Amino acid sequence: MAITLFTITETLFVFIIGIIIAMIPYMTEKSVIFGVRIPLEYINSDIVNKMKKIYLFTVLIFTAIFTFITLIIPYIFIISLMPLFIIIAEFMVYLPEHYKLEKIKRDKHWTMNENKVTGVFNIEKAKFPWFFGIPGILISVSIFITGSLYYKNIPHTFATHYNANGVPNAYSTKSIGSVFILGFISIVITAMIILLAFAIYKTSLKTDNASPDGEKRVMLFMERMVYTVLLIPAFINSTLLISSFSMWGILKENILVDIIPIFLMIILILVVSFKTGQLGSNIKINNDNKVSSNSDDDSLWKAGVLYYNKNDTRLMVPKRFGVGYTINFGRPAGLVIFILLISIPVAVVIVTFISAGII
Amino acid sequence: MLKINIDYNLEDTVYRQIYNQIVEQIASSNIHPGDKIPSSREMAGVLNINFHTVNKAYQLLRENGIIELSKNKRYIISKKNKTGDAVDDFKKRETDIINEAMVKGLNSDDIIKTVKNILNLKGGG
Repeated sequence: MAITLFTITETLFVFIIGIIIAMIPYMTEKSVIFGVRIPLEYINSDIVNKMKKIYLFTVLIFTAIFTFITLIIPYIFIISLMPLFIIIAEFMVYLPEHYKLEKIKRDKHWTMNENKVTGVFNIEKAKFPWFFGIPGILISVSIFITGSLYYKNIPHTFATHYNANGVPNAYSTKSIGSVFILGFISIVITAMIILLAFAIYKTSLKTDNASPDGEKRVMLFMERMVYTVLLIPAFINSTLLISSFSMWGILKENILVDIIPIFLMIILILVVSFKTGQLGSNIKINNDNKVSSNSDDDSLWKAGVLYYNKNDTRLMVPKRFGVGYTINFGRPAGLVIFILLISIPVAVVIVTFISAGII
Repeated sequence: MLKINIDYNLEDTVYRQIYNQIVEQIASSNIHPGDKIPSSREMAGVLNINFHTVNKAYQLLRENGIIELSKNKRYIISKKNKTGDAVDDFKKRETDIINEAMVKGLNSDDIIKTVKNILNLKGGG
């Protein structure tokens, strides 16, 4: 079977995901290594640096193997699940490192002597930066405008889905619902993402005292997260706009063109994540303010990745292993959001499979 | 942006630290009259402390007229109003502190210089 465009894009996806996961230890809070909070004096210790290197090389080897498998495997169903497989495989590299460091911390009595905790609460009446969401909204609106203007030229039946080789395999009869289906999806996605950005804006944060000027960092981190999240609909809606155009016959279907905005989005997220670091740990601030230890909060985190704290009112908290936010599983509402967030991509994948005739 | 820093190595109790830092940040215009402060549960959750501790600090702030309950039952920073009570209260508390400083060997120049320094840090002149 010839290598399809679908295989190439999935291979690229697997490769990018692998590289991102490999870099995570260099983007976390300075005092949180593999999900374990460690005292100031051990952050740059040989033990820790060696563990980071082992993790980096293991993940890179896994990435190379998975990228190669994705490229040669002939089954579309397996190819489309490869991004999920690589995330699971590389989590398996993280777990032993996490438990190893937890054991070292316990055995060698790495205790937090300077027990400090700093919280930053965003109480200013500063305006939420809505305008960053405008490009996404405009693109969503333009789906409806072009669709309405072109409506009479759209054929009575048109292709709505194409297989991996670009051959149409599903058709729809012309109606408001079928013509604007991607437009409606873009409204839902845009609304949800803007809501998410607002939730991030409202979420109070705890600083990492191991980085100087922690509170300045968390504010910059929060701002950049809000800006980036608000820009995401612009990219997703661009893909939906291009797909709508090819559905209506304005453009020729080309999967490579469809996903260009998504790749640009991934690059933006990658650059912002790496330049900022979790809680702003990678931001360059010219200040040698003294740093201090944090209070030990390991007990609130299961395996260093799942946050469970019934006493914390926040639904979202910053991740421990990665850049961005995770759910507080101790709050029922947090769990609901989590299920919603998971169910959307799962539903999209299932619908894609059904319409592609794979299942 | 309100910043609360709890240091367990200090002798000050946790609720005192919260109290002092909120007052300090109002004085330095970091937070302003009318600003909503986080609920005691929210602050306690972020700092991983008991919310009764935060409540204790808020209660004291309220008794001293520094914060007040707004219509929607959230605490907000009170408007500044230099009442006779506030001046009397300041005089009474300052007398105790100055007496103590003098017993420890500070003279009036030291005290005036220190007070001026504190005021300069606040940018109040």
